[in-house]
Amino acid sequence: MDRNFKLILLTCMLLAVIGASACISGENDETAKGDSFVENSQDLVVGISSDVNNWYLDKFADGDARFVWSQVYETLVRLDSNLNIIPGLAESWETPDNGTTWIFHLRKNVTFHDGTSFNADSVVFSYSDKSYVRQAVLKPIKSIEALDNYTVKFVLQKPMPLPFYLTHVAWPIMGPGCLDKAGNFIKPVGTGPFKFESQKKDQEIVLIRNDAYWGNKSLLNKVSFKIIPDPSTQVMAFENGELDMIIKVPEYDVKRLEAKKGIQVQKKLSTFTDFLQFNCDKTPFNDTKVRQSVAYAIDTKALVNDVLNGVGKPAEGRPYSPNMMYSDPNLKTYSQDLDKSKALLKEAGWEDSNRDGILEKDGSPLNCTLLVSKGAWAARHTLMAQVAQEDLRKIGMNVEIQVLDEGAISKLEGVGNFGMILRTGYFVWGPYPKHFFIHHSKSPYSHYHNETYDQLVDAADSTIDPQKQKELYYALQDFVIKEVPAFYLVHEEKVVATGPSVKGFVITAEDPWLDLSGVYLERK
Amino acid sequence: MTCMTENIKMTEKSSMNEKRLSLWEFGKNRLALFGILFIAILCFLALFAPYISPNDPFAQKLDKRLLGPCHEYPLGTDEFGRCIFSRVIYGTRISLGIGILVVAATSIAGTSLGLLSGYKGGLFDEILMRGVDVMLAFPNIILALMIAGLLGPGFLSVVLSLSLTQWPVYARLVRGQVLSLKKRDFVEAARALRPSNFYIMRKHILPNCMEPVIVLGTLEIAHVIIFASALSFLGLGIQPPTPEWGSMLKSGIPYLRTYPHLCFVPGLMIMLTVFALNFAADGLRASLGQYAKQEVLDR
Amino acid sequence: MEYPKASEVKRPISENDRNIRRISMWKYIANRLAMVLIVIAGVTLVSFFAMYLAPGDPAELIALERYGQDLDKSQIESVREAEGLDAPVYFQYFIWLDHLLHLDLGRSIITSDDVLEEILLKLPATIELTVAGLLISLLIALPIGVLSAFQKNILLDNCCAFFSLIGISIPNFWLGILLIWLFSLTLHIFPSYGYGSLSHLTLPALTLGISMSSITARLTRASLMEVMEKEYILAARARGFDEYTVVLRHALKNALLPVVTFAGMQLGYLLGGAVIVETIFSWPGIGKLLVDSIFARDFSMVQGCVLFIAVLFSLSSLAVDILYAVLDPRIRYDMYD
Repeated sequence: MDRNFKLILLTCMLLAVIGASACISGENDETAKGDSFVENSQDLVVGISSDVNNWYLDKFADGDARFVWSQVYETLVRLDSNLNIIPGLAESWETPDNGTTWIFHLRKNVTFHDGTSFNADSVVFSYSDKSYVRQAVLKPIKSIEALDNYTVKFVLQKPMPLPFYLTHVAWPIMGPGCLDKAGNFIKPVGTGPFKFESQKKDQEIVLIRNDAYWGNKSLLNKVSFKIIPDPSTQVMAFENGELDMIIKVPEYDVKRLEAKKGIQVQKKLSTFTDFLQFNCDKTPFNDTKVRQSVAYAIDTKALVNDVLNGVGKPAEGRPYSPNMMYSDPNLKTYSQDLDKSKALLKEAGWEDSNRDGILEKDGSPLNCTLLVSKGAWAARHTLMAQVAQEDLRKIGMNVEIQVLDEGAISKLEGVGNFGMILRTGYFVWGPYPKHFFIHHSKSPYSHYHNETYDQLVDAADSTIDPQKQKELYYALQDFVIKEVPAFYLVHEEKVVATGPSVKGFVITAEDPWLDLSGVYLERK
Repeated sequence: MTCMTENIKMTEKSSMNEKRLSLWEFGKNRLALFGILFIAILCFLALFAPYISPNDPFAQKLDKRLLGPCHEYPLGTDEFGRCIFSRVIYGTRISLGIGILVVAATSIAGTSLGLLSGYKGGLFDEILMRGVDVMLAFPNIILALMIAGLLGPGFLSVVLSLSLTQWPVYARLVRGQVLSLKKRDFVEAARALRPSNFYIMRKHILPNCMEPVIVLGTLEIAHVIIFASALSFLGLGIQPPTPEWGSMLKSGIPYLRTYPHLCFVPGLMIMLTVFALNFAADGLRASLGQYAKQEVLDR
Repeated sequence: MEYPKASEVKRPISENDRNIRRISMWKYIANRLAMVLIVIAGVTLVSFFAMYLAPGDPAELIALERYGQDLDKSQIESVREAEGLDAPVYFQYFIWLDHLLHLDLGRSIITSDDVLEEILLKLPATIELTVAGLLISLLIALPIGVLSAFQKNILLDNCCAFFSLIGISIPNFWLGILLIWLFSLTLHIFPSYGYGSLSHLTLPALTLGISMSSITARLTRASLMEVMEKEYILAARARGFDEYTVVLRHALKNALLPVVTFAGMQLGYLLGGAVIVETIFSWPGIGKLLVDSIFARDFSMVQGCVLFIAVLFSLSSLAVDILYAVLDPRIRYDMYD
C-alpha cells in the first residue's frame, strides 16, 4: 500500500483524536474559567439526593425537600443547634390553661418574599383545614383565631405541647401570595433567608438571598441545590469540587473525607433512629417471641463499629436517641445473644425439621421479606439490611431483601405485604418524642395493635407536665424493649462535609434541617 | 415473499464435507482455544464451587472488612468481610447457569418455531415472523428490563424475562436456513420419496441448520450473561447477598476510590467470560466453515 | 454490547441469489411502511399485555394511590368501574389503543404526571446522549476500520482486531465504571455525573460510543475488504490510479454505505444501551426515567417508556431503510421470496 496514504490516514486519525479532546478539554477550560470567574462570588452549591416534590402546605415535603424548605420557609418556633426550643417567627407563647389553649405573640416587621407583611392572618392561612398538618398530625386543633394583627390563639381538644409540633420544617408559615386568585399554587412565598429562584426537575433548585430578611441576612448570594440521588456519585462530585457541601455523607466515606486536606467533616447525633419495623399482623412476627429473638440476633454494636465505621450510636433496641427529651439513660437494652435468640424461636415453635438451616413451623419455613428504601434518605440502609439478613440467617431465618422506591414501599405497607421494613425517624420533630405514635393502632403506619400501648401513648400526648411526661415516656420505652413492635438499630449521626472554600458552617442536631446562617465562601 | 431483510443463507459452494467440525481449523485459532479453555475452567469452578472456594461466600466477618488479597482471602474481602474469591467462584454458577438455561430454552423454542415456520410457510410463517419483528422492535435489554421489573427481582424472573425476549433471534436464523435449504437439490430429491414432513425436517433440514445455531447459541450465552448481570447491576435481577457478578459490581461502587478491587474483580470476570465466549464462537464459526461468509464479524 | 445480526445489515445482493424478486422503489417503501405499522401494532399489544405480568390487582393499586392506606372493597370496585377495568381485556386494550391514537399515554400511578409529557421532557437528554455516542463511535471506528482493512502490518491489524473484540465483550456498565474510575476519580478530568455541559456529556457518550465503535469498526473493515475485490476497483487500479485515489474515491464511498446504514440502525440499540449508561451517570433521560419508574412500581410510566422507545426504534429503522433505498439503487428493488 502506498506510504502516503497511510500517512494521511494516520494524520487524519490523530487530528480527529486531538480535535475531539480539544473540544472536550476546551469545554473543560471554560468551566475552569467559569470557576475562577466566580472567585469571590458567594454562590454555594449543595448536593441533595431528592428533588423538592412539593412546595405547598397541602402536601408533605418528603426526603431532602425539607433541607430546601428550611431555607425558604420558617416556623413559629425554632430549635437551636442543640435542640433547645427558641423563638422563631413567634417571639413568645403561653398557655393559660395547661396546654389546651396556646397563644403565640408574633414577630413584627417580618415580610414575605413577595413584599406582603407577616401577620396573624398568614398563620391562620398556614394552618387552615386544607393544610396537610391539620389533616394528618394536628387533628386535635379545634380552632385558630387571630386575636389581633400579631397574636394568634390555637384552641385544642386536649392538652398538647403544641410549640414542639410547630418546630417542624414541613409545616412552616407560608404567605397567602403562594396562591393566585383562583386558589391555585403559583410559587413558594416564605419569610426565610432565601427566596425561590428556579427549579429544574430532578436536577437543580436555585435560591437567592432574601435582602429583606428580618434576621441576620445571609452572606451568600445564591444557593444551588444539585439533585444527585446516588450517594457515591454525590461524594465523587463533592471531591471533584463540583459541590461545596454534601449534607448526608455516607458512613463509609466519612473517615476518608476526614483525612483529606481542606475538607471539613462535622458530625452530630440527630434525633433519628433507624429501626426494623415488624409486620405484627402476620406470621412470623405476630409472635412476640420471634420479635424478641430478632432483637437478640442482631449485633447493633458490630453494625455501627464495623459496617458504619463508628458513625452513629448502637441503639440496641432503644427507641429514643440519647439527645432526645425523656430518653431513658438506664434502659435495659439488648445485646447479641444467639443462644437466647434460638431458644426463643424454639419456644415459639420454630424448629429445623428438615435440616436445611432454615427453621420450620407447621411445615412452612421461616421466610420473610425486608423492605429497604432505595437509599435516597440513608445510604447505610442497604448495608444494614444485609448485616441483619446475615445475622438472622444464623438463627435460621431466611430474609429476602427488597430494595424499592419509597412510594413502592408504602404501597406494599398499605396492603400489609411485607415482613420487616428498615426505616428511620418517623414522627420525630425536634426533641419531642412523638415518635411512639408509629406503633399506635391509629397510626397509618402501624402494624402493631396493643391497647395498653395505645393508652400509654394517648396519655403521654395529652399532658404537658414534664414529670408525668417523663414517667409515661419511660414506661413506653420499656414497653418497646419488652414487646418489640420494632427493633431499634442505630441512632443516626448526621454528617455534613464542606469543601475547602466554605467557612462558618455549624452543624445542627435537628434533622432534616440545614442552617446556612453565617456561612460564606472564600474561593482560592 | 415477506422478509426483505432476510439474508442469512447458505453459500452455494458449501457442501456436506465442510460440515464436520474441523479441529485443525479450530486449533489454529489460538484465541479460540483460549476461549474454550477459559470456559472449561469456569464450568469446572461452577461445578466444584463448594470444594474450591476457600470460604463461605455468605459468611460475614465484620471485623475483617475490605481486606486486600492475603493468604486467607486470595482476592481480599468485601464491605461485609466476605471472601471475594469465593463469591466470584459461586458467581460463576449463577452467571453460567442463567446463560445455559436461557440459551437452552430459547434455542430449542426458537429453532422449532423457525423450522416449522420456514418449512410450512403460509399463515403460520407470516404470523410468527411478524411476532419476531415485534419482539426485535424492542431494542436490546428494554423488554427484558420491563418484564423483570414487573415480575419483581429474583433468579426466576431473570431467566424468564431473558427467555421471553431472546427466542426470536433463533427463529429468524433457522427460518432463513430452512427457506434456502428447502430449495436445495438434496431436499427436493428426498421429497420425491414422499416421506413424512417430520422426517424431512429431522433428517435433512435440522442437521443442516445446527451449525449456525450452535455458533449463535455460543454468542447468545455471552449476551445473556451480560444482560443478566446488567439486570442485577440495576438492582432488578439477582438480589444480594447472592454472589452475582453484576450485583457485586454494583455494591462495590461506593468503594471504587478506595478499594477498587471490589469492582474490578467481578467486572473483569464478566468481561473475560464474555470475551472467552466470543472467541469460542469465532473459532467455532471458522471451523464450521459456513455462515462465516455472511456474518459481519468474520475476521 | 450488541452484535449486529447479519440479517439487519443490508448489503448489495449478489446476482446469483435465487430468492430475489424485483419490485419498484415506491412499492418497496410502501411495503416497508405497512410492515412498520404492523410491527407497531404488535408493539402496543406486547406492552399492554406485559402489564398483566405484574402481581396485584391494578384497580387496587390505583385505589391505594387515590384513597390511601385504609380503603375498603367498595372503593376498589368503584375504581374498577370508573377506570373501565371491569370490561373484558380485549375491550380494555382497544380503549387504551384509542387513547394512544390521541397521544394519551395515561398518567403516572405514583405522581399522576402525564406520561407522554414526562417522556418528552426527558427526550432531549436521551437524544443528546445517543447522538453524541453515535458520533464518538464513528470517530473511533472509521479510522480503525479503514486502517485495519489496508494494513499490512500484522501487529497493527491485530491490535485493531483485539480492540474490537474487547469492545464487543465489555459490558457498558462495567466500561462506565472503569471510565469513572479513570477519568473522574483518578485523573479528575471529567465529572462523574450530571447534565448540562459538554464535559458532563463526555463520559456517558464515551461509554456508549466505545461499546458501539468496535462493531462499526469490524463492519467498516469487512465492507471495505469486500469492495476492494470488486471489478471496478480492479479496473481503477488497472487504469493506473494510485492506491490513495482508489481507496478514497472508489472504495470508501461504496464501503461506507452499509456502515452508515448500520450506524443509523444502531440508534435503536444506543437507546437500549442508554438505559444503563443514564443510570450510571445520573443522566436525566428516558432510560433513567424507565429504571426509576420500575423501582417506584409506576407501571403506567414503565409501559409508556417502553412503548415510546420501541416505536422510536421502529420509526428510525424505517427512516434508515427508506434513506437506504433512495441512496442505493441496487437494493431498493430487491426483495426476498
